[in-house]
Amino acid sequence: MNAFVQPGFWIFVLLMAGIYCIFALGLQVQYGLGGILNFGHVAMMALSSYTMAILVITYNWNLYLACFAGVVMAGLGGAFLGLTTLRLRGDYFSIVSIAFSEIVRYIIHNSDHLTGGAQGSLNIPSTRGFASYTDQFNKVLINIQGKIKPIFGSFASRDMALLLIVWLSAIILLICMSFIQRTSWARVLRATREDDDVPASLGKNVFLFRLSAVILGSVVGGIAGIYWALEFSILDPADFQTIVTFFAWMVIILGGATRVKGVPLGALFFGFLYAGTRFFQFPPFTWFDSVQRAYLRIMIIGFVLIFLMLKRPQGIFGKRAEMVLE
Amino acid sequence: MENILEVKSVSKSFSGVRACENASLSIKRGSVTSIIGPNGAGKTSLFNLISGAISPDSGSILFNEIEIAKKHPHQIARLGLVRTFQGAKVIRRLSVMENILLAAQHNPGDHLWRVVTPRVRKRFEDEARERALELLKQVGLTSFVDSYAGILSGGQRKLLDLARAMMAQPTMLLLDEPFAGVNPALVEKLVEVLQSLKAKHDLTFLLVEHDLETVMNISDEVYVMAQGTVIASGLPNSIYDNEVVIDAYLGTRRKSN
Ligand SMILES: Nc1ncnc2c1ncn2[C@@H]1O[C@H](COP(=O)(O)OP(=O)(O)O)[C@@H](O)[C@H]1O
Ligand SMILES: [Mg+2]
Repeated sequence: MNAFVQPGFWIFVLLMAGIYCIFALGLQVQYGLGGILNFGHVAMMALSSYTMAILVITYNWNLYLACFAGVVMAGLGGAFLGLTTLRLRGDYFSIVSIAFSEIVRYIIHNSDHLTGGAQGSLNIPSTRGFASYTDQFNKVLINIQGKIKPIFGSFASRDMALLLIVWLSAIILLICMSFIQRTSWARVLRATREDDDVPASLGKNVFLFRLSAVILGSVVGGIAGIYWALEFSILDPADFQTIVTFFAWMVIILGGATRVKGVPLGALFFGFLYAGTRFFQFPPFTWFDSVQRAYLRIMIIGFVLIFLMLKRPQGIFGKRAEMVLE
Repeated sequence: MENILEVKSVSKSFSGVRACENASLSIKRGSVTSIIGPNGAGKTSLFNLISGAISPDSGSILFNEIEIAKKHPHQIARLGLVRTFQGAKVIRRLSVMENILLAAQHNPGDHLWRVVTPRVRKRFEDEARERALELLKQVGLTSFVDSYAGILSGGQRKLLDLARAMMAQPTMLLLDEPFAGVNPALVEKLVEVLQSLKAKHDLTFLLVEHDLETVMNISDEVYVMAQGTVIASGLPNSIYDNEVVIDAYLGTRRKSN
């Protein structure tokens, strides 16, 4: 029960909720607007974080340049995924997108001399003898910690500093996204969610709209990958399994897929649900060992989702009419 | 150029089923031309071929002397050749206004990067909205502007479909059974709307229709299709008296009436 009362744990939960919020915003553009079922979104986190880490560790790039390059790489990943498979029917795209993210993970896992392979980013070849990509950023965090000390006192940890940066970014991205949702670009995408023939018959190149949605979503997902990398300071190919994509799906389903506003709420809800289920240290949960309990957590989240889909298909915060009409 | 559209011996089959066989049409600029024919005659398939939804196995289609047989639907629409769909397709989860705005051409806001130029987008949207309201007024849907299109009745959907196609500022409109399943009062209104649109915008119409009376009233020329081919064409009156047509189509219809 100890961690339950530790503020540090809850700061971590909030921080992860912020990262998931950004990550899920990328999915929201694709699914909420365009109805695109991307199940390979985690690949964009893997691409951006590993690109950044390799550029910093092996090639001694400036961190910020490397972050930018990482995000660009995620966008390129989205472009590749979209160009090769978006012409397929919707459900085929979903299947291929899972394969795409698994291939990315597999390549990372097996490219020891580039990515460090199964041993993770600690094993990325480095000219300086140690493989760390956070040195430059840690200075920034320490600086921020000093500044927020008067406000947060002993809570002014590294996580707290990063939490502020992550949620600030999340809010900025949220605002950008809600501007984007008001453009006619978004209107065309919302039309393609229902039908391809109508927008095409009115002069819209449906493929290009979908492609740009996937690229935009991938860029946003890539930004989440950068924060993920900065939070954990090391990367491991096992961090980027398909389950992570489905966590983001939970976030947007909880929040209501058609609203940007729902994403941060969904992320917070998911964060606390996921973390909170850790503390089921009473029967019947104590009948299971800790490994079994880890699976039980995911099952419980699954049940909550099924219940939501039945009772509130628009999510906790979503708009019903846009979800269930006819 | 007198003819705006030339369809030259176009053929298309779907795994053995001949939907269109050597179909040819010449549509005069500014005319109203109707295609009639029994169910399964290939009328909708011909529309799909012209609008680029499917591509022909052989033959050529010229719109304003441009070959469009291999073009994508959105490219053809941009040339000013716009279609509606049999049974009227509306985007149910967009509002009536949003449905119409979809059709605005050259909308800067269609480009994602334009999110950074809100003024340009707004100026265009405001103008488009005004035009859309004008069209909604013409078809009598003003009271539904902000309703989801999904709540409209079948007849209202056809009106919306028509207004939306007009929003794209076409030079030629393809209408697939615009009057089918619409109550007689609304048919009259639709015909009225069509005629006022035609007068105002210098439009060419090609329509597929079952309602012979309406066809005879509004058409300058009529094509008759059966089993994928054009079996007759001419002035409405001559069609009525054509032996082949009576055999293939009108005969059965007269009997059943
Ligand atoms: N996409 C398609 N796939 C298979 N067969 C089709 C397709 N579209 C049309 N057909 C067939 O082509 C023939 C002509 O159909 P259609 O063009 O819809 O006729 P009409 O509009 O004159 O009633 C029909 O036999 C129909 O079954
Ligand atoms: Mg038909």
